[in-house]
Amino acid sequence: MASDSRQKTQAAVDALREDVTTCTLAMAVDVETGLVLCTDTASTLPHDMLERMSDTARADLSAPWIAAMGGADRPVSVTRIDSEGHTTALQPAGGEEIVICRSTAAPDHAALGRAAGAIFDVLSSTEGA
Amino acid sequence: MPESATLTASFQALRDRATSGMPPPVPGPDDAPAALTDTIGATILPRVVTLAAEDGSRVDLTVRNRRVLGVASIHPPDLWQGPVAPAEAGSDAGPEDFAQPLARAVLAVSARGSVRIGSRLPEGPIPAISVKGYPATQLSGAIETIRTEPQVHPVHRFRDACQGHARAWSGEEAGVDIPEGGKVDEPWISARLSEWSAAAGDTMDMRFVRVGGAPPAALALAAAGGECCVVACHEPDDFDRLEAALLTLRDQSGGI
Repeated sequence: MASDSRQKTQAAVDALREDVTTCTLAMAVDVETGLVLCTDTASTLPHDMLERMSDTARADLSAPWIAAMGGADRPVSVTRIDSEGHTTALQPAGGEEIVICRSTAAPDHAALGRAAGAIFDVLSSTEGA
Repeated sequence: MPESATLTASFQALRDRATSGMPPPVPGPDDAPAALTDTIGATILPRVVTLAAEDGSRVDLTVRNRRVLGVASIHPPDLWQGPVAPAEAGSDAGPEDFAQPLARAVLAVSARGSVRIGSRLPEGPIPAISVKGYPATQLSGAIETIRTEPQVHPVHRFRDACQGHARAWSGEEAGVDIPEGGKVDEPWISARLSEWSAAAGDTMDMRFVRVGGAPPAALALAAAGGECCVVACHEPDDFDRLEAALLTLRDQSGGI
């Protein structure tokens, strides 16, 4: 990925974390290139934690009920709710890219959808370039 | 001043502001519901009677003539677990719409410790004189009934909070409920339950799926202590409410 595109993606990920008020961690995963770009409130993030989150999101988005709901060719979000908060994985219609948002409370899904859409736009324009 | 001390001081100031004008805390959480109904029972002229815990959770009740006329406000909103919103739940409504959700909210706030009870003049319009209100004496009874009722599994409570949507559940009890005119049928929701039961672990597991496009759809999946439940929803206005019900389940499932 060219450095300019990487910067644009990073800026879009940063914007998600700022726009979704309760978000503590935002992450973009380009499945084809294995690219992971992340921004959060902590100073450092263990790499294995990011990999675990990415694997979990991929599994959640390929669960059998997603296909049964018509999610194969429609935008999907899956939110896991646990004692630490909410972790939402989003995927665009027909796309492979994943955006992950961890938040302390239920996120504003409209704001999250808009911000994730901006990241998907950058990632897809990068693929086309 | 160290940062932690600054934050503590700010929090103290906020807490002082929130509780200013309120009497000292009720001695124990078990005493709070009775103290609240005593306050309501002693209130003749219109007042807003407040039950507030130190963590900010609170119930404000409009009271007149020893009766609760309605819920003026409630925080956090998910304390209210009734089928209709508190603003729409009239005090003259049936017990499922008003008395039971109110009793549960009172017990939930009381359980949070260091509870204060106060009253103030109402700021908004007071309900018409034709609104009789719910007597304090009956509220005591409703609270006692809820307090002594058999423990309901949190997943069953979640299922019950999702009435009106297509639901399927398994565990000690099993069943399917498809509302009239629903967009999914029994085989479809049963298949989702089978998939979810196979995927969910023994520990608490909750997921909320939203699928965009037309028509949008949502699926709430809950599992805890061997009980599983799946709820399908096709009304976007209800998506946030369904997700909030999962959050309530998480908060109620601490012991599982």
